[in-house]
Amino acid sequence: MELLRVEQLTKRFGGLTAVDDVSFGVREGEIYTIIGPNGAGKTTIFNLVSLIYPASAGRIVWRGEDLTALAPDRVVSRGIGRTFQNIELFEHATVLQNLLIGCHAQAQSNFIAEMLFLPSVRRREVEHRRRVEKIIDFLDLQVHRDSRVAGLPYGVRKVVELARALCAQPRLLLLDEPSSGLNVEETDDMAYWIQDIRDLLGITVLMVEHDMSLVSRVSDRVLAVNYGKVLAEGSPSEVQSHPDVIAAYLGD
Amino acid sequence: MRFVFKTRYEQDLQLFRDRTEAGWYGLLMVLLLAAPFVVPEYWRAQLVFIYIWGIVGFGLMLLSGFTGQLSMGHAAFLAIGAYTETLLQAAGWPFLLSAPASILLAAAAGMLIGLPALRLTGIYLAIATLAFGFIVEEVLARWESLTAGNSGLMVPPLNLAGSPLTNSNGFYYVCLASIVLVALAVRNLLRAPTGRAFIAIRDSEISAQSMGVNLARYKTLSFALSAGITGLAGALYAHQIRFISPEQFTLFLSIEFLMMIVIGGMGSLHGAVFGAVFMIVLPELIAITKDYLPQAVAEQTGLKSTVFGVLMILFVLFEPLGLYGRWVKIRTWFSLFPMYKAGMFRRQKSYQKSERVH
Amino acid sequence: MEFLQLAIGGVAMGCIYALIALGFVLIYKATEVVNFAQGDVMMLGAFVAFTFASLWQLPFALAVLMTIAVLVLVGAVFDRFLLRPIIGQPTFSAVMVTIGIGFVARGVATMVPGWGTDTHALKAPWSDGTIQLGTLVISTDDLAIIVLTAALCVVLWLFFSRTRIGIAMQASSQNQLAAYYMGIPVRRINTLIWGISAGIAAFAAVLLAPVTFVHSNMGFVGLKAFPAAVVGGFGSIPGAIVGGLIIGLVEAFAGFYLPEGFKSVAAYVVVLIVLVVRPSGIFAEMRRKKV
Repeated sequence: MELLRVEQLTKRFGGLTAVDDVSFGVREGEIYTIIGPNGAGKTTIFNLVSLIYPASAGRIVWRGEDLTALAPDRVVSRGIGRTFQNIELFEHATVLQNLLIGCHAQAQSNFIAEMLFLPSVRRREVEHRRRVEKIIDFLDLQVHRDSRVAGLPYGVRKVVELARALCAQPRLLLLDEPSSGLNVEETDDMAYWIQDIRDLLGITVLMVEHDMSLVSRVSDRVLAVNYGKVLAEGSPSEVQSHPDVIAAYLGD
Repeated sequence: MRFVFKTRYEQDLQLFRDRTEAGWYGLLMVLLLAAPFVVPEYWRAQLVFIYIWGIVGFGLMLLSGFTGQLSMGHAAFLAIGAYTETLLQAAGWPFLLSAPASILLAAAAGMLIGLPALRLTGIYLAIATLAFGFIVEEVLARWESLTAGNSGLMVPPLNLAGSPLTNSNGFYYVCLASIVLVALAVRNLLRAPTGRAFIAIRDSEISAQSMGVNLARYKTLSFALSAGITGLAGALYAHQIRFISPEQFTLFLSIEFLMMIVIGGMGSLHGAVFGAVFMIVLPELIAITKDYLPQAVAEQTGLKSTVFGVLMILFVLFEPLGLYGRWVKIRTWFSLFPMYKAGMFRRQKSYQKSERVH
Repeated sequence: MEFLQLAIGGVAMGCIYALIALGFVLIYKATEVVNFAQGDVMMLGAFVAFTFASLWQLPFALAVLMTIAVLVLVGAVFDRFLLRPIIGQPTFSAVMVTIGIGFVARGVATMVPGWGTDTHALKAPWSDGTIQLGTLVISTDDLAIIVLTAALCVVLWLFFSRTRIGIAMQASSQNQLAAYYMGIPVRRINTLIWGISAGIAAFAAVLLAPVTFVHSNMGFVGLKAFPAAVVGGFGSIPGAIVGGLIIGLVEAFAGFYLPEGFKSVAAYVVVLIVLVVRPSGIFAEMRRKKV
C-alpha cells in the first residue's frame, strides 16, 4: 500500500527552481532513500513534504489525503515525523525534555487543567514518560537522559534527534542525512537502528543519504535526483549503475 | 552528598525533589507567615513589595525566560491591572471579583500585543513591546474621564469580599497567598506539555512546529498568561502604594523588570524571586553604604542608576546564570565539599548563528 | 505655508533621529547587537562638548573636534572591554549590557561636578538666528542641523565606499568569516565601528544641544530612533536616514494637526503599524532561517 505519493512537486525560490517536477511514491514498510550530489534539492524535497516550505506546484498525498495546503504544525499529527540535517534540538533543555516534547503531537493540552495539575494531567505525563523511556531503551540513551543537549557530542545529538522524532509515533519517518558527521561505528549503529525501526517498530522510512554503503545496505528502493530533477528510481544496485547517475556524481 | 534514589516516574514529576527540600520550603512558609508579627512595619512593607515584584517576575520570566519572547513593555500590563483594580474597587466591587477582572483585562491586552508579535522576533518584538508600553502610558494620561489623567487616582483600601480590610496584616497575607498561587500555577504549567511547548518555541521554532506545536496558539497564550499575571501584580501594587498615576508606569519600570529577571537568573522560576529580592534590597544597601561614601558621591541621585547599570554589566559578563545560578554554585560547593570542580557549571559556548542571509 | 514651516521643523528633528539611528544601525550591521545606549552616548557627547565649549571656554570648532575624538574613544572602550568578552553569547546578553551602559551613563552624568542634574545651555556660533525665505521663517539651528547632517552623510558615504578601512567594514558587516579569511581584523574593526558610532552620536549632540539644552535625560530622544530604524528597514543605512526623516515629519504634523498627546506617541503608533504590515521596513533586510 502506498503511504506517501508525491506528484509533480515543484519549488521555485525567485528565479531558482530547486525542485522540478519530482514524482515518487513510498510504500508502507519500505525504506526509501533519496540520493544525489550536494545542492540537488534533496533537503528541499523533505522540507516540502513536511510542509515547512509551501510548494510552488504539485501535490503531496498522504494515505489518500491531499496535504499540500496544510500548516506545518499539523503534519506530525497526521503521522509524519522528521529529523533535521543541521540538528534542530532544543539546546537549553535536557534530553528527556526534548523527547517529551516529541510526544506533544498526541497531547490535547489544556492550560487551565495543567495549571491546576489535575490527576488527568499527571496520568498523561506518566504515560508519556513510559513511552519516552521505551525509545530511550531502544536507542541506548539512558546515560544522557538528564544531560543538557548543548553539552552533548555530535553523535549523541543525532541519536537524540532520531529519538525525538520517534516519540511522536510517526507512521512515516523522514531522516535527513542520518549518518552525516558520524564515524564508522556510529554509522553501523545507525544502520541497525534504521532497520529495527522498520522491522520492530513498523515505521516506514524516507531518507536522504550520501553514504553509499549505508544506502545499499539498508534501502529497499532508491531515487536519484540532480538539479531538482529525477534521474532514476529503482533498487539500490539498479540506480547506482544507471549511466545518468554515474555521470551526475562523477561529472562528464 | 545527598543522592535521591528514584524508583517511580512520579518522583520526577513532583514539586519537591524529596522530603528534605519540601521541609526547607515548609520552614520558609512558616517564617513568612509569622513575619508580620515579628518584623518591623517597614520591612513588612518591603516584603509585600518583594511578593508583588516576584509575581511580575514570574510573569515576565514565563514570557521572556521560558518562551523567549522579549518584552520591553511589561509596565503597561502592571498599569492596566492597577487601574482596573482601582476603578472597580472604587465602584464597590470586592477583590474576589475585581482581581480576576484585572487579570482578564491585562491578559486581553497581552493577547492584543501578542497578535502582531506572532510574526516578529528578537529586536523587532522588543521594539513592538516598547512602542506598546509608550502608547498605553499615553492613553492612561489622556483618557482623563476614566483615569483622571496625570493627576492620578487614589486607591481605596482593599475590599476583599464586601467590607474593607482594616487589618494591614490582612493585605500582607493576600499578597503572600497570591505569590504562592502564581508560583504553583506557573510551576505546574512548566512541568506539563504547555510549558515544554514554550521552551520549544524559545529554542527552535521550526523544530517546535515539526513536533506539532502551533506557534500562534502558544505564543499568544504565553503573552496572555504573562500579562494576566502581571495584571494581578498591578492590582496588588495599587493597594500597596495607595496612589497611582501614569508616570509610575514608564519604560524605565519595564527595563527594571527585565534587569530583575536577568540578574535573578533567566530561565528559572527561582530567578524571578531572587531578582525581586535584589530589586528591593539593593536600594536599602545603597542607603546604608551612603554613610561610608565620600560626600560628593553619596548625595547624588544618580548613584542608584549607576549601581544598577554596573551590576547589570557585571552579571552579564561574569555570572550569566544570575543570582540563582550563583546560589546553586555555592550550595553545590558545600554539598560536594571538598570535591567541587571549578568547571562544573561552565556551559558550552554555543555560538549564535547569524540569521541574516545576505 | 504652515505646512512647509512644519515640514522643515520635522526634517530637522528627523535628521537628529536619523543620526542616532545611523549610529546603532552601523553597530547592528557589524555585530547584530542593538545598542540601547546610543541616546545616552549622545547625552555624554553633549556634556563633553558643554565642558569644552562653555566650562573651559575653548573655541567652538576645537571643542567639537575634541568632543568627537573623546566620544570615539569612549565608544571603542565600551566595545573592547564590555562587549568583546561576550561574543558568542546570545545577542540578548549584549543588549542587556548596552542597557546597563545606558544606566551607568545617566547615573555618572549626574555625579560629575559641573554637570549634575541641572539643565545647561550650549549654544553654537550659528544659534539663535532666523533666515527669511519669502514667508518662511527658518531658525538657523534647524538649518544647521539639516545641512550638517547631509554633509556628514556624504563624508560617511565617501569613507565607506572609498577608503580601505571603510570597505573592510562593509565586508566584515556582510560576512565575518570571509572577512577573517581576507585578513581583516574583525574584532578590531568592530571596536572601530563602535567608535565611529559614538562619534556620530557626538556630532548629533552638538547639533541638538542648542535646541533642547544639555541635561542628563536628553538621551530619551534616542528612543525615537528605534522606530526610525525599523521604518527604514533595520540593518539598512539609507533606511536609517529615511526612517528618521519620516518619523520627524510624522511627529511634526501630528503635533499640529492631531489632538494633544498624539505627538509623543506618533512615532510608536507608526512603528507598530509598520511592524504589522511590513516588518522589514522600507529597505528590507533579508532574513531567513535555513534548515
